[in-house]
Amino acid sequence: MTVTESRPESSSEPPAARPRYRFVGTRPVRHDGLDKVTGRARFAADCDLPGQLAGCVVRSPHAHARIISIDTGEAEAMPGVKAVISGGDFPAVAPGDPNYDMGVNLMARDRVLYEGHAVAAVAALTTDQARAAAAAVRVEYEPLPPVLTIDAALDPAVGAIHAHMFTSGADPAPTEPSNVSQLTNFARGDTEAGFAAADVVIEREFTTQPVHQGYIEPHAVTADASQDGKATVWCSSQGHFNVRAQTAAMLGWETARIKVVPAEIGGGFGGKTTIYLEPLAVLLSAKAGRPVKMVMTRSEVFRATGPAPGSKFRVKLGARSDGTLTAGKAQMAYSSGVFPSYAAFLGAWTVFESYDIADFEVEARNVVLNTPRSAAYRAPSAPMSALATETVVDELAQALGIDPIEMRLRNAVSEGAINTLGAPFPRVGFTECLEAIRDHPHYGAPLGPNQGRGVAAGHWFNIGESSSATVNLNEDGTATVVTGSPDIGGSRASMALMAAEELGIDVYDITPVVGDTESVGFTDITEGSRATFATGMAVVEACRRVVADLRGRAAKMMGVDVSEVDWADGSAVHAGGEHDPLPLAAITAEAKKTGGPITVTGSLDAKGVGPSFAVHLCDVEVDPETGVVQVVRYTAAQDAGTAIHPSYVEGQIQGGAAQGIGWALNEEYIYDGDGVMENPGFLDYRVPVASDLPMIDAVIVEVPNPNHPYGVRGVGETSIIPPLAAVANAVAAATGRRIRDLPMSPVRVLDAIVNSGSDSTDSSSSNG
Amino acid sequence: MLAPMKYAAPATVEEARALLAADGGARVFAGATDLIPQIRAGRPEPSMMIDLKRIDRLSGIARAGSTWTIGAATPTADIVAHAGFAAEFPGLAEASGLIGSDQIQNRCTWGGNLVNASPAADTPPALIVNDAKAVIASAGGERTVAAAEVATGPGATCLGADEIIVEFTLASPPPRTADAYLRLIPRTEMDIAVVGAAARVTLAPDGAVTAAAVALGAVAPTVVRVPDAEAALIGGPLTDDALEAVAQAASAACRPIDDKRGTVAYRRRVAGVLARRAVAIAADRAAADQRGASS
Amino acid sequence: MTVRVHFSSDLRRLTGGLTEVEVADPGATVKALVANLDGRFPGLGERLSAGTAVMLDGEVIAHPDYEPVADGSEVYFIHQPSGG
Repeated sequence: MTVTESRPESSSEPPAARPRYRFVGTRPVRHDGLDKVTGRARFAADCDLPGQLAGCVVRSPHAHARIISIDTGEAEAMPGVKAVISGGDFPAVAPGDPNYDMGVNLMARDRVLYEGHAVAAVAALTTDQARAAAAAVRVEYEPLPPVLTIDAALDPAVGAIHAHMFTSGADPAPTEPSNVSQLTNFARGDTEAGFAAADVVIEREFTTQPVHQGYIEPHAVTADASQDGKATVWCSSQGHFNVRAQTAAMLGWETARIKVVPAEIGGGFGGKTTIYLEPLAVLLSAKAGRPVKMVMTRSEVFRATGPAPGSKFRVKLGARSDGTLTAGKAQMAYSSGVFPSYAAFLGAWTVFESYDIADFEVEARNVVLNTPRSAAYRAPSAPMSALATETVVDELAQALGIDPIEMRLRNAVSEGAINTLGAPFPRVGFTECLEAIRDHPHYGAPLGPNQGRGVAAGHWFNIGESSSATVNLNEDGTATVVTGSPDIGGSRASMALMAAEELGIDVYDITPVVGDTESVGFTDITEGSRATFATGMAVVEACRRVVADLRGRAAKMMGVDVSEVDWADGSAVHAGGEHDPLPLAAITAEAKKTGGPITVTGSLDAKGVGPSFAVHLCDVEVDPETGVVQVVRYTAAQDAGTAIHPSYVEGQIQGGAAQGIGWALNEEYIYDGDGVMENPGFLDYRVPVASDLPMIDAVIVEVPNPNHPYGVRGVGETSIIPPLAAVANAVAAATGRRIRDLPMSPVRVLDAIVNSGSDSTDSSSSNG
Repeated sequence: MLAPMKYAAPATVEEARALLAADGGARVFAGATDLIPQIRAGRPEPSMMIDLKRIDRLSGIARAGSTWTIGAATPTADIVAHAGFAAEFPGLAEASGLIGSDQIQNRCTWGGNLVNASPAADTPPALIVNDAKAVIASAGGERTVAAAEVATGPGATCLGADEIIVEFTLASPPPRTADAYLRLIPRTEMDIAVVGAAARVTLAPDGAVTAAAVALGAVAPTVVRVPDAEAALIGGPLTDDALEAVAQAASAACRPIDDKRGTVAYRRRVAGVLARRAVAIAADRAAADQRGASS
Repeated sequence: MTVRVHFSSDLRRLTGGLTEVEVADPGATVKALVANLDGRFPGLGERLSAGTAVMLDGEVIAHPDYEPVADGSEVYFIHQPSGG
């Protein structure tokens, strides 16, 4: 099977200096593709074991309540019921323990902290029996007042949800607990002087609501605890080593007692970087002595797994008449649900990161609410911070009569610019992305009636972390590449391409697989856009050591010193030319005689991560009488460093844009006054459907990361950052109204159109 | 142990009615595109699901003389694809083609859409402006009820416990008559109307409106007819003023609520917009209707 | 041997407002450098040990304890990022 495709015309040509690769940059059909499209691929819920029980979780109907009692007696006596567990079955956790938040989140102890919070779980012969028994668990609650909004969480008069939570990062350290878990301050220079030097200053307020990652596959697990005190767990996640570590910690078990087998994953987007069901299933299985399978309903996914935080910001930027940004000030709050998170820290880091601003102050608060614990969602916190900055930059450009791309080009960070954390940027491709959009035919295309065009940028730092890869050469010269990175976006194909490039054998002669926790070295979560970058580095390292081994074997076969043997195009080549080249398959065929099987593991903690930038261009058409916004054209340029498999880079760009458009237009958690979610399903939690979106034109920009053997930066997250602002700026262009509270639903857009003067609460001043 | 839900697929209306009468917990279904999601959302399971799709009379589209008869369990996809029907009732075909997705339309039916009695259902407003009649099988034989009379409130109908809608009848529209249906949803498909508006207009050769019907969905517990809009149209040409009067009458006629899908103010305003647009589309279609010219 | 150390501005409350210091005789590794800095700014060592990365010679290093520092090195204490 060989598939060769040419790059679409919209993709930028690689720089002339780019090395010529034989495999990297081509578009083979992914190795797991046929199984996926034929339905043969096994996802988490496809795992069935003989004798397995069905598990079901009892969940709180209250957003905040004290648990007076839990009576499982009736449930335990019901037909088919084999085990019932509740908080008391787990190791005790005390406030302040590192495991407290996750432990309490998995199973409530003395209080329920959000609607949907797990209070007990049952396992029975059938799903119906398990559900009936779950309904028969009697829980007596004493309802407590819930904290449901950022404003309430910031109000010192509102009681603290956690009596042990004191704001970290505050100076002086607070003496009273509060619902502000953490405070981050970044500053540089003299902000007052910076604003004084500006010709135009614009300050605006923004709000966004929690949104869910919306993966199609609900959380699912099958656990089999054996009599020797061990357990095997089958589940889908973004990191099965992490599932093992967290499950062990929650149960108080040694890591070696748990084996986690990764299933194919039906979407994660950050939401599967943590656990919800696994320790419950293991405990139920241990108690019942049989395997237990648990599958969340969609409603459970919405009510009990982590959405991205909601946010409330006030952002102020000043610029000189030539467009130079002089100063920035941001006051930010993120709500991370019921437990603390890094959300506010990441927001503070990213809010001004794209632009070279001499003077700035950022203050960000992370607040807790009686809503589900938030989880990572693709470039956590950055889409909201970019909404604010990219909208204000757009307004500044408008006020100054400067083209929005030109405005950004004048302020874009480049190599050596000092970032928010005070460190210099390495080589980055922001300017190249801006130029790619500026030079794209879309940028100058005519617009129709009621249409508007918006542009916005985004930055993500990306991460490295630990990865392992084992390369096994087979007897016939084919190879297996085993990594520990769950494949959430086509990474197996990318691993095979890099291995093919290194070994010089066809990409389809390489079988890339994701190994379980006992079959491959430790590997961190697939997050932070790191799999192709860091696990790719481990694959390359392993392959280079395989090649060194192959050269040694060939030298033995040729009877020459290894220093005389090179590796080229999949063959060992004698430098002197006195021996015929030995293809890889000829060497593996003789492996038993030259030292035994050829297998090498590469493991590393990846250094030299490359930040990624993206610029998105969006056209919308707004029905002025109904407020309905239709995205009619969308182009997204992103610096991939090097696109190992361009189709999956385009897929990441398109997927992030689609999710961001949904976030901009319709997605939101809706709660009633008691904190009960009103839209826990895909009917009223509106992710875009196919007909809502135009074909998203993905433009791959390639400014290689000098610290990666193939120049990879990581592409998974940046694409969700610009859409919120790109859509908002386009709606503003189409309607003349700035909508700064997401989502821009028809109700909100029509309200803005009909009730003008919505800018009255914001300030815009001209110093000149 | 819970009693397992039973399934029956009777071949005749009488068998279905007998099953229904014998078991108070039984429910009839055709596509079950509302029933199954309701059960999944936690509503009690019926003791018996009575499948109506095997009953010949309940499926099919036929025209005899000037009367159309549509089986109550006919998938709406079949109605949308029926060129002869869609030519005479373009708006009703539109409404039928907006429900859910292609997959849903292969299963869902007018009968189910009407008796589910959701205020936001798409086909009832279009059935009502076309004066559709529902033929109902009862203990004493059959009775015929205007489609407008079937739903009496959210989830409530005029049907007795053992009654089943068998079919719908519609009179072929007079010449230079056409209908239209529009709805507002935040997405482009796979959604539920925030506002729905159906209109039917008959034009005289000189362009004057001789008959009009306007009905709104999702803005009150049941479909709302807008007699003031109809009165504003009849007797004169379709002027901008007349259309504005339609919009105002429609906005005034709704009794919407605030909920997660929309606000009172939004629904009121957009009901007027959609009613005006639906009337304009229906009138354009009526003006283009060639059946009057050839007769 | 001297290295120049840069702090992220959110660490200023632990460094007496400084964002940049010169360290003479910093030790051979980042870990030794952190111990040195903790002597000068009590509490900073604990903060830097809890998930702080460095940028050293143009590379972000997430777990830098045993990275060698050389005369003239520029060490930027940043943060251990996470992602989705």
